[in-house]
Amino acid sequence: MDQEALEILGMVKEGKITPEQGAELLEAMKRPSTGGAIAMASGGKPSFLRVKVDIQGGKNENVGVNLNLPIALADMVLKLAEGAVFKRGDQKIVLGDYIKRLSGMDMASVLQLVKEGAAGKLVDVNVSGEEGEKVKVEIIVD
Amino acid sequence: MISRPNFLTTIVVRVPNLRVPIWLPIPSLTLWGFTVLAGLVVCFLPRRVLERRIEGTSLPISPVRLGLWLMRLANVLLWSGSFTLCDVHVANQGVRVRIRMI
Repeated sequence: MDQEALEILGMVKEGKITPEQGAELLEAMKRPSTGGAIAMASGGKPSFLRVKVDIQGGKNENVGVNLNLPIALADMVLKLAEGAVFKRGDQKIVLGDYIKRLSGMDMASVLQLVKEGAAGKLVDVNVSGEEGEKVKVEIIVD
Repeated sequence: MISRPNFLTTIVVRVPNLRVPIWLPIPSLTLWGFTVLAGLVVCFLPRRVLERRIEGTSLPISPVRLGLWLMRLANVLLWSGSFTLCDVHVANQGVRVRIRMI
């Protein structure tokens, strides 16, 4: 028996948690963890690609975008997103290059992971700007 | 892909000036029809006509491919069951736009 299970049993023995809570914790330990990690989908195929963008600007601006797309559209959308161009002052930013520079992950590899049936959080980028703005981009497949 | 159609597409727009949010229900089949029609038009119209219609732009991909993409988009969205397609909110301005397929 591993250390974590022994610790849970110890907490039950000491009366810190009830036996039911202990059983729940032991059950939770047995389940495969997918939080924050990429896991291959077993059985049911992932059906949605979720793109979450959260921008907290330096001037108290707070913008949230939550996009849920059927997985069948994933390749189309990721290809479009890769080529999307944004203007920042005089500078043109290509989204695909921007994400690759920040996270080291290019859209083609994300697309490959999606096609192979990967599930979980594929991209998690946190950026802090010079003016205090914070940008968080997440791509989740579930 | 979930092989169940959605019947209604609802667009909810909340703006600070209005007390009640704007709720706009559109039959999903209507949207499907318009998107497929747009796809067919893009497929069959000559490229130069398209580029003349959308002023100041040049199409980055072939019109046939774009048209096929539009038709695929329409089919997948119609047959994906109930889900929230998009939820955009600007917190400090009190603006929220949500598109749901029911």
